[in-house]
Amino acid sequence: MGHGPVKALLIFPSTHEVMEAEDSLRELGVEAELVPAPRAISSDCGMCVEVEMDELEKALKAVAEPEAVYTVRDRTYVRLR
Amino acid sequence: MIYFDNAASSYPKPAEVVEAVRRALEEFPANPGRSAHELSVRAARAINAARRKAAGLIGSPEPSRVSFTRNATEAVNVVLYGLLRRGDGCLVSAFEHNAVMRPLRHLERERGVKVVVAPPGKGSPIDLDFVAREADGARMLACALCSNVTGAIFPAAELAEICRRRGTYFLLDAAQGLGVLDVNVGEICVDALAGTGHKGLLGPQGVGFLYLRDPESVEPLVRGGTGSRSESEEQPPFSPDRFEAGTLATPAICGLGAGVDAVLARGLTNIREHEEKLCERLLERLAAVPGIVLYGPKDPGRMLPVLSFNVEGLAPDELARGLFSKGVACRVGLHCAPAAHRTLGTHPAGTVRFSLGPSNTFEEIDEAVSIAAELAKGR
Repeated sequence: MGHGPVKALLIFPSTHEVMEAEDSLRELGVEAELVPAPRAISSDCGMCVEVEMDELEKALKAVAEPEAVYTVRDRTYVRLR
Repeated sequence: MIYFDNAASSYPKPAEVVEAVRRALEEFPANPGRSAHELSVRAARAINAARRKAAGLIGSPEPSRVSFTRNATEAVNVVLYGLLRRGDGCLVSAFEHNAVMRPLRHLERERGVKVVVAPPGKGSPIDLDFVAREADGARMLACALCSNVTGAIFPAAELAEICRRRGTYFLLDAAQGLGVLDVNVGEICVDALAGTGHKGLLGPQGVGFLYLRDPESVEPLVRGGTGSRSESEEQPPFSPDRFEAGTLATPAICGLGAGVDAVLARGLTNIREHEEKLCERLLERLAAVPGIVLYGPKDPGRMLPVLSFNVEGLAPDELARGLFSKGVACRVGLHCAPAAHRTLGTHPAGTVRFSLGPSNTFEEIDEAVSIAAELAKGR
């Protein structure tokens, strides 16, 4: 693995759920970025939610159950759930 | 101009609605939910905010159960075509709009759906005993929240309770009445609700919505791209994507959301109180016109300020023409509800309809009625 920051990606089935997750995280004060879902882990043409790895636990408590969660560093993805 | 055609489309639209539409077109006219770039994300956020507002208005416990459609008609079609199977029975009221009746007559021919019309009851636009008797044999009851011809308010809570007990699917066509009456799908057992943005919700035309208690039990009417599950050539099973194929009407949806805000800021109770007073005044003034015939409940407590009438010896179209020429915007004919006019005995000539909204005033009523009275005198 490289030396970039470790991020977590939360994958949701629909744009609606991504939007709901973003709202919930904002309310909680967790910094979340909407990013294109990488081809390597999803063929979805939409987006997913990226948070800092050390915020993941907190984030997961606030949002609906994601379809999948990945860690990512320098474009290397590891599925966590 | 005096605008008494609010049951067709409300006027004026609040400044906030116009502004919301303008902002959507100017600031984020991108495709919502299709990409993660700034404009697409902003469009998706705006749609989600509007979805929450629509869901909140009707008490939907989960915003994803609300999907946006082109109008209430499309929402009604989704439910009728998506649920009724060969040989199913469907109960309707005797006042249904063609949004309900035309798809049902088609389904009658195509799928052998049995359409049963419930007659009006005593002091009610629908006979509840009849519904209770017939509900057992019916897959669905499709009924309006309010008649678009007479303004009569249907007993939605009682109908919902009958359906719940009998296991009959309840589709509520709330095109008329949303934005004035408090409808809570969480409190009364509504399986499906069709709403529109451009009437009581004071929004733009071109957007409606569909609430479904159990979205996955209803087949979609249209399938296509949703921005989700792109690897699959099958429609996503989950709502709202299941029912939202193709690019959504973001500006209209934003306008609908702003309309809901405007209505809630005025307060449903305040709007209803104001409209009851308007209705009382309208009934009182019109009833005093010699030769006038009023249709419907004639009781402000049991109707919206939507009133059908005729003048003896004067064809409805002549009366309407006179009203138009004096600047009274109203509607004449069958109001897309021939069934209602058959029930009232006004088919095929129809009636003149005054339909008032939250911005109308007593002064407008007095002026419009005096114009109608002049026309009646000259017959």
